[in-house]
Amino acid sequence: MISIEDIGRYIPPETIDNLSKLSVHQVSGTFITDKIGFLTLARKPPAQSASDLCVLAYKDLESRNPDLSRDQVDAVLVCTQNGDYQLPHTSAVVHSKLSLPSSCATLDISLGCSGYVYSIIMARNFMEANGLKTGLVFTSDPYSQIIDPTDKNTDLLFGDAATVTLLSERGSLRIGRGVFCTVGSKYQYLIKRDNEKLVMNGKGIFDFAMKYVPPLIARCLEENGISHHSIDLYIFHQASKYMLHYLGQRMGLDQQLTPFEAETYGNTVSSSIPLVLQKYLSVSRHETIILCGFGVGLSAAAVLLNRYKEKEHARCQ
Amino acid sequence: MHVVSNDEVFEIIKATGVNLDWDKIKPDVSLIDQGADSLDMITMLFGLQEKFNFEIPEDSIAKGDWLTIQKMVNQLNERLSARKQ
Repeated sequence: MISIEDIGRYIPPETIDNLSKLSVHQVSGTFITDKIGFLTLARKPPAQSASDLCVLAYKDLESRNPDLSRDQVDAVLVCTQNGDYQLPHTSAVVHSKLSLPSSCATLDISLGCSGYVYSIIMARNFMEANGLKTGLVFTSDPYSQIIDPTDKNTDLLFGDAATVTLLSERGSLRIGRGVFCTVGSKYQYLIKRDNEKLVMNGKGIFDFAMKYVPPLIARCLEENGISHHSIDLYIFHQASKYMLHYLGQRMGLDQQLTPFEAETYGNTVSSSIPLVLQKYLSVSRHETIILCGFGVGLSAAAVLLNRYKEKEHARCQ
Repeated sequence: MHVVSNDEVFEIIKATGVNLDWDKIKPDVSLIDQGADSLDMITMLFGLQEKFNFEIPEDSIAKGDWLTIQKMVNQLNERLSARKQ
């Protein structure tokens, strides 16, 4: 079965200090540190594109996986809404930059904060249905390109980053059943129109998350036949410190179960979940993990990950 | 018909967990002037929406209709009255 083997990451070294924007946006330091939670936001150089960030994430993956050969890769999926071009798909550009084989499938998924959950499920299903063995799921959505620096609603939140998840039959984390939610009637709550900058209705996004995420998690547990007592970790999209705190409180979850790790780089959209997951990938005590992304669309998705036991894993290969 | 009171709204928004000096909150002063930030306001409005099962229109928020407890009470009673009809 196709499962998660490893995750590569790239966070640009250059950052913007949110605490330097207090007077611009008329907010207090404690609003940044205690509520927003992002002290600095990662920023790519303007000349770097989404595909460039993907390549850098791949190089991180490659550095830890010397046996991974580019010739083996038979599927590339890029989750982005800020790709290199309107067409072709950014995964084709990544394919070119990594010199991948012509037998490799490439496709993009146009999703934001729920995108990683959708992407690993789609990639797993696509690979298993077609006998593919080695897949790369990239997330790379550089919002710095579309943010208005005078807009308090967005300027304090978003950072640039990219990740790549290696899917193979050697993976240690099995991808369970996913559950999905769309409230399309509120698509305007987070929107970027042609020739305009990103606009976000913060209250609308908050309301959506608080109303729809708890029942989505309940549905995820039910679909996967597991109780909340058995969940070792919930990795939520790192929307903001406050959002995670309030969501966890609403669901009666211990703060330790809902890590907030994005203080130094920001809300990286579809990269936000895999950046946290990478940290816990090798932590064996976390056997069952729920991933949940929510945001632009408005869209939300959740999935259960189960760590393979050694004997079980050998049997599956 | 249920008529919402200042006390009821006070208890609902306090129960959201927003950290204000609740002992000193005045019903006719903007909650922002009494220490609430934008996320606090969003949270309190969400609490009211959930309690009364409705969605606060954006333009009503933009007009400042929900900045004080008294204004919240007025808006809620207006909506409840309209719902009854």
